[in-house]
Amino acid sequence: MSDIDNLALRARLADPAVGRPDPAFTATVLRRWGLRQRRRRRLARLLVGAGILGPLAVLAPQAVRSILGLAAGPGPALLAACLAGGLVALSLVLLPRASR
Amino acid sequence: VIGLTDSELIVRAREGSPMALAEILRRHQPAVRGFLRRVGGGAGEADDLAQETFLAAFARLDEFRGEASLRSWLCGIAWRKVQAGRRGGARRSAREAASARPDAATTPSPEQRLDIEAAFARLTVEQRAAAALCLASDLSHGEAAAALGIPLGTLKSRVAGARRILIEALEDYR
Repeated sequence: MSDIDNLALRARLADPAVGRPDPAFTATVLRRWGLRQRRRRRLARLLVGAGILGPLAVLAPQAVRSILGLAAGPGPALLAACLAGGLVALSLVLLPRASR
Repeated sequence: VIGLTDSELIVRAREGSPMALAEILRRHQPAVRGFLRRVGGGAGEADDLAQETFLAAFARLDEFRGEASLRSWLCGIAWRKVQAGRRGGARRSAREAASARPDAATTPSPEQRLDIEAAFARLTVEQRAAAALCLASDLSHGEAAAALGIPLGTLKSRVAGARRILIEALEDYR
C-alpha cells in the first residue's frame, strides 16, 4: 500500500466527533478528581489523628481527654477507640515497609 | 500552562496544579476518547472509560517515567481498562453489541460513520486497538506496541491485518 493510500485511510478513519476537547468532559473528570482527593485527605487526617491520639491515649489519657474536650467519664470507650485507631494507623504505615 | 511541554505539565500536575491537570485533559482527551470509541463501545461507554483512564492516570502520575509519550501512556492505561472490562463478560458483550451500531448522536456524516463502524466491527478487538492507535491516531508502531503491551512484530501484524480488512470493507475507498 502506498503512502497516499495510508494517508487517505487515516483521514477516513479520523473521528471528527472527538477531534476537539470537550469542556464538559474536562469539567467532569476534574470534579471527580477533586472529590476523590478530598476523600483521601479526610481519610489521611483521620488516620494521622488516630495514629497520634492512639498511643497518646495509652500513655497520657488525661491529655487526650483535654485535647478532645472531654472532662471525664468515657474513659474505657475512649481508650479502646483511640487504641484501635492507632493500631490501624501503625499497621498501615508499617506493613507496606515490612513487605518490601 | 498552555505553552508547556507534556513533561513540564506532568511536573506541575505532580505538585497538585489543577491547571496542569486541566491542560493534560484538554490536550489528550480527543486521542483517548477516540481510541476507546474505535476499540469498541458506544460513545457513552467509551467516555466513561476515558474518565476512569484519566482518574487512574492522575493517581499514578509518579509512575510516568517519560520513556513513552504521555499520549501512548494514557492509551496504555485505557487499553488495560478495556481488557479488564472484557474480562467482566457482561460488559464485553454489551460493548461488542454497541460497537456494531453507529452512534447517531455524534455523527456528523451518518453514512460515512456507518461504513466505518461496520468496517471496524469486522476486526477483532486486538486489531481494533492496533488500528485505532496506528491508523486512526498517529502513534508510531513502537509507541502503540508499548501502549498495548505487545511485541512490535505482533503490533505490525495486527495493523496489517486490520488495514487489509478495513480497505476491503470500505469499498468506495479506492
